[in-house]
Amino acid sequence: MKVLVEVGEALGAERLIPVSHAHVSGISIFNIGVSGVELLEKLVSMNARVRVYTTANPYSMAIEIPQFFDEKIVALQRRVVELLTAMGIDESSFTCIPYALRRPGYGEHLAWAESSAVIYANSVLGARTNREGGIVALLAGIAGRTYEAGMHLDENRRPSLRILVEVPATSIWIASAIGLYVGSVSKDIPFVSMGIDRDPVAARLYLKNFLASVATTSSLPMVFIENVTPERIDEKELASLERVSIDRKEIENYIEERCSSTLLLGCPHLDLDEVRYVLRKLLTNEVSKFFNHVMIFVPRRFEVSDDVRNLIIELKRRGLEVALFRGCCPVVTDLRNVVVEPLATVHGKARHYIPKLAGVPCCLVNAL
Amino acid sequence: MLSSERVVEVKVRRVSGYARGEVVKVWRLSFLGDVDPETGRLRESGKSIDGKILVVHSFRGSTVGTYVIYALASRKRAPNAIVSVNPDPVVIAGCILGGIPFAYGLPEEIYELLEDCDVLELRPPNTVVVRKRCR
Repeated sequence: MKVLVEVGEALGAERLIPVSHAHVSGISIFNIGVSGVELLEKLVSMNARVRVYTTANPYSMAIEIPQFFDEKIVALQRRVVELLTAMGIDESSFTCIPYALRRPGYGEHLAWAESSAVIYANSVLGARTNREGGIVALLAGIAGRTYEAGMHLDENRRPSLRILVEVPATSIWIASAIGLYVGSVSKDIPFVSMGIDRDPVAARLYLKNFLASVATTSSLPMVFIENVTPERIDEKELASLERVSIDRKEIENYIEERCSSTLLLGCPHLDLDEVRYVLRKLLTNEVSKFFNHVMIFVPRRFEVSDDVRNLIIELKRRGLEVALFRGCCPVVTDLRNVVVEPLATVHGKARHYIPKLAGVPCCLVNAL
Repeated sequence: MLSSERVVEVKVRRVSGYARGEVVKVWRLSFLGDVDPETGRLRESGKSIDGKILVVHSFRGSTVGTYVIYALASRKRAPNAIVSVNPDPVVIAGCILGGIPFAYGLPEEIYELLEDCDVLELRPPNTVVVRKRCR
Protein backbone atom coordinates (compact mmCIF):
# COMPACT_ATOMS: atom_id res chain seq x y z
CA MET A 1 0.00 0.00 0.00
CA LYS A 2 2.82 2.37 0.87
CA VAL A 3 4.36 1.76 -2.55
CA LEU A 4 1.09 2.68 -4.27
CA VAL A 5 0.67 5.83 -2.19
CA GLU A 6 4.25 6.98 -2.82
CA VAL A 7 4.18 6.15 -6.54
CA GLY A 8 0.83 7.90 -6.82
CA GLU A 9 2.12 10.96 -5.01
CA ALA A 10 5.14 11.16 -7.32
CA LEU A 11 2.76 11.09 -10.29
CA GLY A 12 0.49 13.76 -8.82
CA ALA A 13 -2.36 11.51 -7.66
CA GLU A 14 -4.53 12.69 -4.80
CA ARG A 15 -5.97 9.36 -3.78
CA LEU A 16 -6.13 5.62 -4.37
CA ILE A 17 -9.12 4.13 -6.19
CA PRO A 18 -10.46 0.56 -6.21
CA VAL A 19 -9.58 -1.64 -9.19
CA SER A 20 -11.51 -4.69 -10.40
CA HIS A 21 -8.65 -6.57 -12.05
CA ALA A 22 -4.87 -6.44 -11.78
CA HIS A 23 -2.53 -7.92 -14.39
CA VAL A 24 1.08 -8.59 -13.46
CA SER A 25 4.09 -8.56 -15.80
CA GLY A 26 7.73 -9.37 -15.13
CA ILE A 27 7.21 -13.13 -14.84
CA SER A 28 10.08 -14.42 -16.94
CA ILE A 29 13.11 -15.60 -15.02
CA PHE A 30 15.25 -14.16 -17.82
CA ASN A 31 13.92 -10.70 -16.92
CA ILE A 32 13.56 -10.66 -13.16
CA GLY A 33 16.46 -12.94 -12.26
CA VAL A 34 17.18 -14.22 -8.78
CA SER A 35 16.42 -10.76 -7.29
CA GLY A 36 12.86 -10.96 -8.57
CA VAL A 37 12.33 -14.42 -7.11
CA GLU A 38 13.69 -13.17 -3.76
CA LEU A 39 11.18 -10.35 -3.67
CA LEU A 40 8.27 -12.66 -4.52
CA GLU A 41 9.48 -15.07 -1.79
CA LYS A 42 9.43 -12.20 0.68
CA LEU A 43 5.87 -11.22 -0.26
CA VAL A 44 4.67 -14.82 0.12
CA SER A 45 6.46 -15.16 3.47
CA MET A 46 4.51 -12.08 4.60
CA ASN A 47 1.28 -13.89 3.63
CA ALA A 48 0.50 -11.44 0.85
CA ARG A 49 -2.60 -12.38 -1.15
CA VAL A 50 -4.41 -10.60 -3.94
CA ARG A 51 -7.75 -9.04 -2.99
CA VAL A 52 -9.09 -8.61 -6.50
CA TYR A 53 -9.05 -10.83 -9.58
CA THR A 54 -5.41 -10.90 -10.71
CA THR A 55 -3.85 -12.44 -13.79
CA ALA A 56 -0.22 -12.79 -14.87
CA ASN A 57 1.76 -12.47 -18.08
CA PRO A 58 3.25 -15.52 -19.80
CA TYR A 59 6.43 -16.99 -18.35
CA SER A 60 9.52 -17.96 -20.34
CA MET A 61 9.62 -21.15 -22.41
CA ALA A 62 11.79 -22.84 -19.74
CA ILE A 63 8.70 -24.54 -18.29
CA GLU A 64 7.22 -25.68 -21.60
CA ILE A 65 10.46 -27.08 -23.08
CA PRO A 66 12.77 -27.58 -20.05
CA GLN A 67 15.18 -29.82 -21.97
CA PHE A 68 16.64 -26.74 -23.68
CA PHE A 69 17.47 -24.86 -20.48
CA ASP A 70 19.71 -25.02 -17.45
CA GLU A 71 18.05 -26.90 -14.57
CA LYS A 72 18.46 -23.92 -12.24
CA ILE A 73 16.63 -21.63 -14.67
CA VAL A 74 13.78 -24.14 -15.03
CA ALA A 75 13.49 -24.55 -11.25
CA LEU A 76 13.48 -20.78 -10.64
CA GLN A 77 10.89 -20.23 -13.38
CA ARG A 78 8.64 -22.90 -11.83
CA ARG A 79 9.11 -21.25 -8.43
CA VAL A 80 7.92 -17.90 -9.82
CA VAL A 81 4.69 -19.54 -10.98
CA GLU A 82 4.25 -21.28 -7.60
CA LEU A 83 4.79 -18.03 -5.71
CA LEU A 84 2.34 -16.10 -7.87
CA THR A 85 -0.37 -18.74 -7.59
CA ALA A 86 0.28 -18.92 -3.82
CA MET A 87 -0.65 -15.24 -3.74
CA GLY A 88 -3.95 -16.03 -5.47
CA ILE A 89 -3.20 -15.21 -9.09
CA ASP A 90 -5.47 -17.05 -11.54
CA GLU A 91 -3.61 -20.30 -12.28
CA SER A 92 -5.05 -20.53 -15.75
CA SER A 93 -3.88 -17.06 -16.77
CA PHE A 94 -0.21 -16.69 -17.75
CA THR A 95 -1.12 -14.86 -20.89
CA CYS A 96 -0.61 -11.38 -22.33
CA ILE A 97 -4.31 -11.21 -23.30
CA PRO A 98 -5.99 -11.04 -19.86
CA TYR A 99 -9.11 -9.61 -21.52
CA ALA A 100 -9.70 -13.08 -23.03
CA LEU A 101 -10.14 -14.52 -19.51
CA ARG A 102 -12.15 -11.66 -18.06
CA ARG A 103 -13.35 -8.91 -20.34
CA PRO A 104 -13.40 -5.59 -18.44
CA GLY A 105 -16.43 -3.39 -18.88
CA TYR A 106 -16.60 0.19 -20.08
CA GLY A 107 -15.19 2.68 -17.56
CA GLU A 108 -13.83 -0.03 -15.25
CA HIS A 109 -10.62 0.86 -13.39
CA LEU A 110 -7.80 -1.66 -13.77
CA ALA A 111 -4.17 -1.95 -12.70
CA TRP A 112 -2.53 -3.67 -15.63
CA ALA A 113 1.07 -4.04 -16.59
CA GLU A 114 1.88 -5.42 -20.09
CA SER A 115 1.80 -2.60 -22.62
CA SER A 116 -0.14 -4.47 -25.34
CA ALA A 117 -2.96 -5.36 -22.93
CA VAL A 118 -3.06 -1.84 -21.44
CA ILE A 119 -3.45 -0.19 -24.83
CA TYR A 120 -6.17 -2.72 -25.82
CA ALA A 121 -8.13 -2.15 -22.59
CA ASN A 122 -8.06 1.65 -22.95
CA SER A 123 -8.60 1.84 -26.71
CA VAL A 124 -11.01 -1.00 -27.52
CA LEU A 125 -12.80 -1.82 -24.25
CA GLY A 126 -13.02 1.71 -22.82
CA ALA A 127 -11.62 0.46 -19.51
CA ARG A 128 -9.09 2.61 -17.64
CA THR A 129 -5.55 1.63 -16.78
CA ASN A 130 -2.08 3.11 -16.72
CA ARG A 131 0.94 1.14 -17.85
CA GLU A 132 1.78 -0.09 -14.38
CA GLY A 133 5.20 -1.48 -13.50
CA GLY A 134 5.09 -5.28 -13.16
CA ILE A 135 5.53 -5.36 -9.40
CA VAL A 136 3.33 -2.30 -8.85
CA ALA A 137 0.48 -4.15 -10.61
CA LEU A 138 0.99 -7.07 -8.21
CA LEU A 139 0.91 -4.73 -5.20
CA ALA A 140 -2.24 -3.12 -6.64
CA GLY A 141 -3.81 -6.59 -6.81
CA ILE A 142 -2.83 -7.17 -3.16
CA ALA A 143 -4.20 -3.76 -2.10
CA GLY A 144 -7.18 -3.95 -4.46
CA ARG A 145 -6.41 -0.36 -5.41
CA THR A 146 -4.18 1.86 -7.45
CA TYR A 147 -3.31 5.55 -7.58
CA GLU A 148 -5.67 7.86 -9.41
CA ALA A 149 -3.56 9.52 -12.10
CA GLY A 150 -2.96 9.37 -15.86
CA MET A 151 -5.44 7.23 -17.76
CA HIS A 152 -7.89 7.00 -14.84
CA LEU A 153 -8.77 10.67 -15.38
CA ASP A 154 -10.96 12.00 -18.22
CA GLU A 155 -8.69 14.93 -19.00
CA ASN A 156 -5.79 12.62 -19.92
CA ARG A 157 -7.86 10.52 -22.31
CA ARG A 158 -7.98 13.01 -25.19
CA PRO A 159 -6.35 12.76 -28.62
CA SER A 160 -3.85 15.37 -29.72
CA LEU A 161 -3.20 14.41 -33.34
CA ARG A 162 -5.36 12.99 -36.14
CA ILE A 163 -3.96 10.22 -38.32
CA LEU A 164 -5.62 9.04 -41.51
CA VAL A 165 -4.37 5.63 -42.59
CA GLU A 166 -4.85 5.27 -46.35
CA VAL A 167 -4.12 1.54 -46.27
CA PRO A 168 -6.88 -0.73 -44.95
CA ALA A 169 -5.85 -3.22 -42.25
CA THR A 170 -6.54 -6.44 -44.16
CA SER A 171 -3.95 -8.72 -42.62
CA ILE A 172 -2.00 -9.17 -39.39
CA TRP A 173 1.26 -7.95 -40.85
CA ILE A 174 -0.32 -4.81 -42.37
CA ALA A 175 -2.03 -4.00 -39.06
CA SER A 176 1.34 -4.50 -37.36
CA ALA A 177 3.21 -2.31 -39.82
CA ILE A 178 0.59 0.46 -39.47
CA GLY A 179 0.96 0.21 -35.69
CA LEU A 180 4.75 0.35 -35.74
CA TYR A 181 4.53 3.48 -37.89
CA VAL A 182 1.77 5.16 -35.86
CA GLY A 183 3.73 4.53 -32.66
CA SER A 184 6.86 6.03 -34.15
CA VAL A 185 5.13 9.30 -35.18
CA SER A 186 2.82 9.86 -32.17
CA LYS A 187 4.10 11.61 -29.07
CA ASP A 188 0.66 11.76 -27.48
CA ILE A 189 -2.61 9.90 -27.94
CA PRO A 190 -3.63 10.02 -31.64
CA PHE A 191 -7.09 9.74 -33.22
CA VAL A 192 -6.73 7.14 -35.96
CA SER A 193 -9.08 6.58 -38.90
CA MET A 194 -8.49 3.34 -40.74
CA GLY A 195 -10.37 0.60 -42.55
CA ILE A 196 -10.62 -2.68 -40.65
CA ASP A 197 -11.87 -6.07 -41.86
CA ARG A 198 -15.58 -6.69 -41.10
CA ASP A 199 -15.14 -10.27 -39.93
CA PRO A 200 -15.28 -9.98 -36.12
CA VAL A 201 -12.42 -12.41 -35.43
CA ALA A 202 -10.23 -10.80 -38.10
CA ALA A 203 -11.08 -7.33 -36.80
CA ARG A 204 -10.09 -8.29 -33.24
CA LEU A 205 -6.87 -9.87 -34.45
CA TYR A 206 -5.92 -6.84 -36.53
CA LEU A 207 -6.78 -4.38 -33.75
CA LYS A 208 -4.75 -6.36 -31.23
CA ASN A 209 -1.74 -6.39 -33.52
CA PHE A 210 -2.10 -2.78 -34.53
CA LEU A 211 -2.23 -1.70 -30.89
CA ALA A 212 0.52 -4.04 -29.65
CA SER A 213 2.73 -2.59 -32.39
CA VAL A 214 1.89 1.00 -31.42
CA ALA A 215 2.88 0.12 -27.85
CA THR A 216 6.15 -1.31 -29.17
CA THR A 217 7.42 1.85 -30.84
CA SER A 218 5.90 4.26 -28.29
CA SER A 219 4.90 4.34 -24.65
CA LEU A 220 1.31 5.27 -25.54
CA PRO A 221 -1.33 3.72 -23.27
CA MET A 222 -4.19 4.53 -25.67
CA VAL A 223 -5.18 5.25 -29.26
CA PHE A 224 -8.58 6.63 -30.26
CA ILE A 225 -9.70 4.45 -33.16
CA GLU A 226 -12.62 5.74 -35.19
CA ASN A 227 -15.72 3.52 -34.84
CA VAL A 228 -13.90 1.28 -32.34
CA THR A 229 -13.02 3.26 -29.21
CA PRO A 230 -16.25 3.53 -27.22
CA GLU A 231 -15.55 6.92 -25.66
CA ARG A 232 -17.25 9.92 -27.19
CA ILE A 233 -15.24 12.72 -28.60
CA ASP A 234 -16.29 16.24 -29.33
CA GLU A 235 -16.52 16.94 -33.10
CA LYS A 236 -15.11 20.44 -32.66
CA GLU A 237 -12.15 19.13 -30.71
CA LEU A 238 -11.53 16.54 -33.41
CA ALA A 239 -11.72 19.14 -36.20
CA SER A 240 -9.13 21.27 -34.46
CA LEU A 241 -6.45 18.55 -34.43
CA GLU A 242 -3.44 18.58 -36.70
CA ARG A 243 -3.76 15.95 -39.47
CA VAL A 244 -1.27 13.44 -40.79
CA SER A 245 -1.75 10.80 -43.51
CA ILE A 246 -0.06 7.44 -43.81
CA ASP A 247 0.19 5.92 -47.28
CA ARG A 248 1.04 2.48 -48.62
CA LYS A 249 4.70 3.25 -49.19
CA GLU A 250 5.32 4.00 -45.52
CA ILE A 251 3.71 0.70 -44.55
CA GLU A 252 5.51 -1.37 -47.17
CA ASN A 253 8.85 -0.18 -45.82
CA TYR A 254 8.31 -2.57 -42.93
CA ILE A 255 8.13 -5.77 -45.05
CA GLU A 256 11.30 -7.77 -45.00
CA GLU A 257 12.59 -10.70 -47.03
CA ARG A 258 11.64 -14.05 -45.61
CA CYS A 259 14.52 -15.00 -43.30
CA SER A 260 13.31 -18.38 -42.06
CA SER A 261 11.20 -21.46 -42.74
CA THR A 262 9.75 -21.17 -39.22
CA LEU A 263 6.80 -18.84 -38.69
CA LEU A 264 6.11 -17.51 -35.20
CA LEU A 265 2.49 -16.64 -34.35
CA GLY A 266 0.85 -15.45 -31.14
CA CYS A 267 2.48 -12.21 -30.02
CA PRO A 268 0.15 -11.15 -28.44
CA HIS A 269 -1.26 -14.63 -27.66
CA LEU A 270 -4.02 -16.02 -29.89
CA ASP A 271 -7.32 -17.30 -28.50
CA LEU A 272 -9.07 -20.35 -29.95
CA ASP A 273 -11.06 -18.39 -32.56
CA GLU A 274 -7.92 -16.62 -33.68
CA VAL A 275 -5.94 -19.87 -33.92
CA ARG A 276 -8.72 -21.31 -36.10
CA TYR A 277 -8.64 -18.17 -38.22
CA VAL A 278 -4.88 -18.26 -38.86
CA LEU A 279 -4.83 -22.02 -39.49
CA ARG A 280 -7.58 -21.67 -42.10
CA LYS A 281 -5.67 -18.84 -43.70
CA LEU A 282 -2.52 -20.97 -43.75
CA LEU A 283 -4.45 -23.71 -45.57
CA THR A 284 -5.56 -21.36 -48.30
CA ASN A 285 -2.64 -18.96 -48.38
CA GLU A 286 0.01 -19.48 -51.07
CA VAL A 287 2.71 -18.08 -48.84
CA SER A 288 2.43 -20.94 -46.34
CA LYS A 289 4.32 -23.11 -48.84
CA PHE A 290 7.47 -21.25 -47.85
CA PHE A 291 7.27 -22.43 -44.23
CA ASN A 292 7.64 -25.89 -42.75
CA HIS A 293 7.15 -25.04 -39.06
CA VAL A 294 4.63 -22.80 -37.29
CA MET A 295 5.02 -22.01 -33.59
CA ILE A 296 1.79 -20.66 -32.05
CA PHE A 297 1.73 -19.08 -28.58
CA VAL A 298 -1.52 -19.29 -26.61
CA PRO A 299 -2.75 -18.79 -23.00
CA ARG A 300 -1.98 -21.45 -20.38
CA ARG A 301 -5.61 -22.59 -20.40
CA PHE A 302 -6.23 -23.52 -24.00
CA GLU A 303 -8.32 -26.47 -25.12
CA VAL A 304 -7.93 -27.50 -28.72
CA SER A 305 -11.32 -28.09 -30.37
CA ASP A 306 -11.89 -30.96 -32.80
CA ASP A 307 -12.04 -28.71 -35.84
CA VAL A 308 -8.77 -27.00 -34.89
CA ARG A 309 -7.14 -30.40 -34.34
CA ASN A 310 -8.27 -31.43 -37.83
CA LEU A 311 -6.85 -28.25 -39.30
CA ILE A 312 -3.49 -29.03 -37.65
CA ILE A 313 -3.55 -32.58 -39.05
CA GLU A 314 -4.42 -31.32 -42.52
CA LEU A 315 -1.58 -28.77 -42.45
CA LYS A 316 0.86 -31.47 -41.35
CA ARG A 317 -0.23 -33.64 -44.26
CA ARG A 318 0.72 -30.73 -46.50
CA GLY A 319 4.14 -30.43 -44.91
CA LEU A 320 3.47 -27.69 -42.36
CA GLU A 321 4.15 -28.75 -38.77
CA VAL A 322 2.11 -26.74 -36.23
CA ALA A 323 3.19 -26.63 -32.57
CA LEU A 324 1.20 -24.92 -29.80
CA PHE A 325 3.00 -23.42 -26.78
CA ARG A 326 0.85 -22.67 -23.74
CA GLY A 327 1.35 -19.98 -21.11
CA CYS A 328 4.74 -18.89 -22.34
CA CYS A 329 6.29 -16.18 -24.47
CA PRO A 330 9.26 -16.38 -26.87
CA VAL A 331 10.11 -12.68 -26.46
CA VAL A 332 11.00 -13.11 -22.78
CA THR A 333 13.03 -16.29 -23.36
CA ASP A 334 16.70 -16.61 -24.21
CA LEU A 335 16.16 -18.43 -27.52
CA ARG A 336 19.81 -18.73 -28.51
CA ASN A 337 19.96 -22.40 -27.50
CA VAL A 338 16.46 -23.22 -28.66
CA VAL A 339 16.13 -22.21 -32.29
CA VAL A 340 18.84 -22.83 -34.83
CA GLU A 341 17.56 -20.43 -37.47
CA PRO A 342 16.04 -16.94 -37.42
CA LEU A 343 12.30 -16.56 -36.92
CA ALA A 344 9.78 -15.12 -39.35
CA THR A 345 6.69 -13.43 -37.95
CA VAL A 346 3.71 -11.27 -38.87
CA HIS A 347 3.63 -9.54 -35.47
CA GLY A 348 5.21 -6.09 -35.08
CA LYS A 349 5.87 -6.61 -31.39
CA ALA A 350 7.71 -9.91 -31.88
CA ARG A 351 9.69 -8.45 -34.80
CA HIS A 352 10.90 -5.62 -32.60
CA TYR A 353 11.70 -7.47 -29.36
CA ILE A 354 12.91 -10.93 -30.42
CA PRO A 355 16.32 -9.77 -31.70
CA LYS A 356 16.76 -7.46 -28.68
CA LEU A 357 15.51 -9.68 -25.86
CA ALA A 358 15.49 -13.26 -27.12
CA GLY A 359 18.78 -12.93 -28.97
CA VAL A 360 17.86 -14.37 -32.38
CA PRO A 361 17.24 -12.58 -35.71
CA CYS A 362 13.63 -12.03 -36.75
CA CYS A 363 11.88 -10.69 -39.85
CA LEU A 364 8.41 -9.29 -40.55
CA VAL A 365 6.89 -11.07 -43.52
CA ASN A 366 3.70 -10.49 -45.50
CA ALA A 367 2.30 -13.94 -44.81
CA LEU A 368 -1.04 -13.56 -43.05
CA MET B 1 45.11 25.38 3.59
CA LEU B 2 41.60 24.68 4.82
CA SER B 3 38.69 25.75 2.73
CA SER B 4 35.61 26.63 4.69
CA GLU B 5 32.80 24.16 4.18
CA ARG B 6 29.84 25.64 2.31
CA VAL B 7 26.44 24.45 3.47
CA VAL B 8 23.31 24.89 1.37
CA GLU B 9 19.81 23.92 2.45
CA VAL B 10 17.57 23.01 -0.46
CA LYS B 11 13.82 22.45 -0.58
CA VAL B 12 12.73 19.49 -2.71
CA ARG B 13 9.33 17.93 -3.53
CA ARG B 14 9.70 14.91 -1.30
CA VAL B 15 12.14 13.35 1.15
CA SER B 16 10.97 9.97 2.46
CA GLY B 17 13.46 9.40 5.27
CA TYR B 18 16.61 10.57 7.04
CA ALA B 19 19.96 9.67 5.43
CA ARG B 20 23.47 11.03 5.07
CA GLY B 21 26.47 10.18 2.93
CA GLU B 22 28.89 11.06 0.18
CA VAL B 23 27.50 11.84 -3.24
CA VAL B 24 27.84 9.57 -6.28
CA LYS B 25 26.43 11.51 -9.21
CA VAL B 26 25.03 9.97 -12.41
CA TRP B 27 23.17 11.67 -15.26
CA ARG B 28 20.84 8.89 -16.49
CA LEU B 29 20.54 5.49 -14.89
CA SER B 30 18.80 2.19 -15.49
CA PHE B 31 19.14 -0.09 -12.48
CA LEU B 32 18.77 -3.08 -14.78
CA GLY B 33 22.05 -3.20 -16.65
CA ASP B 34 23.90 -0.20 -15.20
CA VAL B 35 24.22 -1.49 -11.63
CA ASP B 36 25.69 -4.82 -10.50
CA PRO B 37 23.33 -6.04 -7.74
CA GLU B 38 26.00 -8.36 -6.30
CA THR B 39 28.66 -5.71 -5.71
CA GLY B 40 26.72 -2.44 -5.66
CA ARG B 41 29.02 -1.00 -8.32
CA LEU B 42 28.13 1.05 -11.37
CA ARG B 43 29.15 -1.08 -14.34
CA GLU B 44 30.45 1.79 -16.48
CA SER B 45 32.54 3.77 -14.00
CA GLY B 46 33.23 1.02 -11.48
CA LYS B 47 32.18 3.38 -8.66
CA SER B 48 30.48 1.84 -5.66
CA ILE B 49 27.06 3.17 -4.60
CA ASP B 50 27.08 1.06 -1.42
CA GLY B 51 26.61 3.39 1.56
CA LYS B 52 26.57 6.50 -0.65
CA ILE B 53 23.91 9.00 -1.62
CA LEU B 54 23.14 8.17 -5.24
CA VAL B 55 22.20 11.37 -7.08
CA VAL B 56 20.61 10.83 -10.50
CA HIS B 57 19.18 13.36 -12.93
CA SER B 58 16.64 10.95 -14.40
CA PHE B 59 15.96 7.27 -14.76
CA ARG B 60 15.30 5.16 -17.81
CA GLY B 61 14.71 1.54 -18.60
CA SER B 62 12.81 -1.50 -17.54
CA THR B 63 10.41 -1.97 -14.64
CA VAL B 64 12.70 -4.80 -13.52
CA GLY B 65 14.72 -2.00 -11.91
CA THR B 66 12.47 -2.36 -8.86
CA TYR B 67 13.81 -5.88 -8.28
CA VAL B 68 17.43 -4.79 -8.70
CA ILE B 69 17.03 -2.11 -6.02
CA TYR B 70 15.41 -4.65 -3.72
CA ALA B 71 18.30 -7.09 -4.39
CA LEU B 72 20.89 -4.41 -3.55
CA ALA B 73 19.13 -3.80 -0.24
CA SER B 74 18.83 -7.48 0.66
CA ARG B 75 22.56 -7.96 -0.06
CA LYS B 76 23.42 -4.86 2.03
CA ARG B 77 24.93 -3.18 -1.02
CA ALA B 78 22.36 -0.41 -1.35
CA PRO B 79 23.04 3.32 -1.32
CA ASN B 80 22.05 5.18 1.87
CA ALA B 81 19.54 7.11 -0.25
CA ILE B 82 18.54 7.75 -3.85
CA VAL B 83 18.02 11.39 -4.83
CA SER B 84 16.77 12.51 -8.23
CA VAL B 85 15.59 15.51 -10.17
CA ASN B 86 12.68 13.57 -11.72
CA PRO B 87 10.74 10.93 -9.80
CA ASP B 88 10.37 7.45 -11.25
CA PRO B 89 7.74 4.90 -10.15
CA VAL B 90 10.10 1.95 -10.71
CA VAL B 91 12.73 3.45 -8.41
CA ILE B 92 10.25 4.58 -5.75
CA ALA B 93 8.74 1.08 -5.59
CA GLY B 94 12.22 -0.45 -5.21
CA CYS B 95 13.20 2.02 -2.48
CA ILE B 96 10.12 1.35 -0.39
CA LEU B 97 10.40 -2.44 -0.74
CA GLY B 98 14.12 -2.29 0.06
CA GLY B 99 13.74 0.24 2.90
CA ILE B 100 15.94 2.85 1.19
CA PRO B 101 15.19 6.56 1.78
CA PHE B 102 14.59 8.58 -1.37
CA ALA B 103 14.13 12.17 -2.42
CA TYR B 104 12.98 13.75 -5.67
CA GLY B 105 12.38 17.17 -7.10
CA LEU B 106 16.00 18.23 -6.63
CA PRO B 107 16.40 21.56 -8.48
CA GLU B 108 18.38 21.32 -11.73
CA GLU B 109 20.88 23.97 -10.60
CA ILE B 110 21.66 22.03 -7.43
CA TYR B 111 22.15 18.87 -9.45
CA GLU B 112 24.64 20.79 -11.64
CA LEU B 113 26.50 22.04 -8.57
CA LEU B 114 26.97 18.64 -6.90
CA GLU B 115 30.23 16.72 -7.12
CA ASP B 116 31.21 13.26 -5.96
CA CYS B 117 33.04 14.37 -2.80
CA ASP B 118 30.16 16.48 -1.46
CA VAL B 119 28.10 15.25 1.46
CA LEU B 120 24.32 15.18 1.31
CA GLU B 121 21.88 14.91 4.16
CA LEU B 122 18.19 14.10 3.69
CA ARG B 123 15.72 15.57 6.19
CA PRO B 124 12.06 14.64 5.77
CA PRO B 125 9.63 15.84 4.58
CA ASN B 126 11.37 18.04 2.00
CA THR B 127 14.82 19.30 2.89
CA VAL B 128 18.17 18.29 1.47
CA VAL B 129 21.34 19.73 2.99
CA VAL B 130 24.37 19.98 0.71
CA ARG B 131 27.84 20.24 2.25
CA LYS B 132 30.29 21.30 -0.42
CA ARG B 133 33.49 19.44 0.29
CA CYS B 134 35.04 19.67 -3.14
CA ARG B 135 37.39 22.47 -4.05
